[in-house]
Amino acid sequence: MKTELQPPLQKIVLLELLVPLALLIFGAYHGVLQVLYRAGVIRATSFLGIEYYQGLTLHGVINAIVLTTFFAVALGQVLVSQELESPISIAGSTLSLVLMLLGAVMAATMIFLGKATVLYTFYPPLKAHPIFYAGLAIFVVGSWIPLYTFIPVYLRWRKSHPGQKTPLAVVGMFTAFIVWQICTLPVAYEVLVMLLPWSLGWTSGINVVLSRTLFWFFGHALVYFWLLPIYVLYYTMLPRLAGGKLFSDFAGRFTFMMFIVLSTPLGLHHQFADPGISSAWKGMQMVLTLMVAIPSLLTAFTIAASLEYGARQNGGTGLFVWWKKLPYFCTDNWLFSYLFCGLAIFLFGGVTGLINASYSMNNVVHNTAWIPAHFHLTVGGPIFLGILGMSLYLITGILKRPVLSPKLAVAIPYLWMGGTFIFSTGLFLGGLRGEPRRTNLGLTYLNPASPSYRPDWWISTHIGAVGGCIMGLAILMYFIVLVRSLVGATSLALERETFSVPLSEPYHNENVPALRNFTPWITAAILLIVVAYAVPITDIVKSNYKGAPGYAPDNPVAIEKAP
Amino acid sequence: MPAQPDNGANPTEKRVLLAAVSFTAASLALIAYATLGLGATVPSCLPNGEIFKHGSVIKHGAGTYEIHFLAKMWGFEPTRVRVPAGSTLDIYITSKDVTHGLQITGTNVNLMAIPKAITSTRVHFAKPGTYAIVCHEYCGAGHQKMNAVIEVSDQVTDIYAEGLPSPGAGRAVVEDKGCTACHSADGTVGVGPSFKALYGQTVELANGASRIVDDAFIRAMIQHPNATPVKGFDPVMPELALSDEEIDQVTEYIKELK
Repeated sequence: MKTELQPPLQKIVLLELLVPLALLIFGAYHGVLQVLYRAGVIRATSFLGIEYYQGLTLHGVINAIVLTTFFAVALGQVLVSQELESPISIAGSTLSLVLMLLGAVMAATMIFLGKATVLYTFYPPLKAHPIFYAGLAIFVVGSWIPLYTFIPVYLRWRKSHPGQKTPLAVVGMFTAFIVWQICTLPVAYEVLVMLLPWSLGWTSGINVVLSRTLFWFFGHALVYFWLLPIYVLYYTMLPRLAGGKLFSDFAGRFTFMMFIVLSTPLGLHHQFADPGISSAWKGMQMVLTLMVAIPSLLTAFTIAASLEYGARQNGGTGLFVWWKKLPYFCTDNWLFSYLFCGLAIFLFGGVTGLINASYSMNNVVHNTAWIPAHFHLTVGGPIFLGILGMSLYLITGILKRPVLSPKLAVAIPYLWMGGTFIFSTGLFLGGLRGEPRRTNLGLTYLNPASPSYRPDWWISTHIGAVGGCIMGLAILMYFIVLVRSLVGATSLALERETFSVPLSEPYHNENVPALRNFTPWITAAILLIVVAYAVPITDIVKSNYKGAPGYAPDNPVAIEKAP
Repeated sequence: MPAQPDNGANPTEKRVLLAAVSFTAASLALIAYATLGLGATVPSCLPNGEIFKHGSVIKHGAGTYEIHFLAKMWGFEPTRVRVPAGSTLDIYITSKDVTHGLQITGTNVNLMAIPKAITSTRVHFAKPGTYAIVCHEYCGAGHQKMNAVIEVSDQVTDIYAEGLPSPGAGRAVVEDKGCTACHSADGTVGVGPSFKALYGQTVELANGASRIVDDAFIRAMIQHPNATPVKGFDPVMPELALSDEEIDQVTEYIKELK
């Protein structure tokens, strides 16, 4: 049995998981409200004191930044300390937790006060309160620290385990945090050097093209930072939960190294419709984006092969019949259903991602409802379900409590999957008919009394609303299970001496020395970033794009003079 | 833990890696064909071009037009454009204030409108119909109101646009609000200074300070006429409730009177 998580780290991990889950109540609530506004069920600028775009900002910041980042930190701390059998700096972990909590509270408070209704992409020249930008910066700085608490643990382990392969889970978590360290530097520059002094009134005017480019330099690597911890679960937990082994250790290591190289130099595919960047550089980064299909397809194959191996261990036979032998509805093994449903959703998320990235095809879908349909099948699919399932697993495991209502716990991911499929069908359909994302449609386009009424968007927005409500119901059920397990029947506390995360063994354990050292891959990543971004950013900096004055979201008159 | 043995790769893995690489290469080849062969490309930009301040439509020849869209909180300029079927349009867009977006439903036109920069693309309208335009990037509280329309008709022979500022808008405001009673356009000094050659001049205030007549000064004088009286003129100008748009138009008019 592995050594248990140090008791102080247990408390830190519990806070890192529970605080964002508590915030998720607001984030999920406004997810449901949004589909109602969009379908015209709610025709108002605000509901119960929260304005539509304010709620949309909350939904994005809480669900996509706060929840995902806290989860990555918590999972990293658990897996690194467990697999490298060595304690992690409590001082470092505490500092990271305090900074992240402080930053999240600062940003969330400003959003609740209506001082930062700028959405989670915070595109200038819409201007938010300085405390919002400062909160984001403090949050990101807090999330940098874990990597530097992991490194000494790894170096100690390396010394005492010469010649041994670093455990795959550790390689995966290091990959996530290395990508995070690289990609957050430009957004830190955007927030600290450009936006914060500007919102404090110390500088005037902003280069909007530059700030968008720095944001997306970060913004797409961000999605891989969300995804990589879930890939760690797929490679190191799912095969064992399925009853077998990881089909190929090589595939996992190769995939992680490819993500180090490819995560960042491809952000321009979010800016195909932007001015200020030549189509040659947009095309170059499009090619790099499509290369991500290689590790993704390899992962799809390897995980499917691992599931098949597990099913055959469970007695599965034949070409297709083995599918019946996976623990889809097993209450003792409820975590399987979260990871499995996430994978099923991700198939569609991956395909639509390829469509979005395919250069001129992006013209058809850019900024339409198609885009949120896509990312609710990625961040809202495998990532969100992985976070929900693994958080429940870690919280109850650390507290040594059983999961009460395990049948409900197994049902949640299936209900969520059904909800996201319906929701996304509506938004895909609407997007192809020009329905915009990020818009309070109910006031105008879904309002028969408005001259802008679009009856052709009625069906799509209503399908979206049905799906969104089902997703809301699944989250409500999740909170019932979580709260029951936390507060109910304490006498049922398990007599388990230690808690550790059960990880898979490899079935094929290939030895590929090139994949056993991060340095060449990080070097390649940095070189590729320089090649992909040096010319576009130089062009933008040398241009006349500077000096756009700032605006409050509710007033078409600039709140500062043009410089 | 003992050192893990290398039990070798399964041959399927290599085939899968090959399949993944081939799939990606095929996708890239198709994109290259769509872009280079079929001319389906992403929007381009005009580096360092002069930024237009108003929307407009320009005729280049029979069936070829240019539309300059000005995106602003919360509408497009022009709001409605009618073109003959079979027209080819070069579309340019910039923003007067924050980030906006423009998509023309049913076409491949999808552009971001960014202040201080211009995005452009070309579109051919073969079939008659009504093509809706919505702003697709969050631009503040009125975002959901921001839309426009392009009508393609086989009944018309030339381009027609609504929602453009009329060229004499500033002059109309000046005449409408009675400014001409005190301010001439020909250099004659009346109760107030003449508008002719006023813009850019340095004037002395009654309190001894001096100011350059620029956009901000004109705006301040219209909004609070007697807060900072100018030397040589009695502080008798009435407060007129001019909208921001009207103040801009008057300022443009004064600039034109060189």
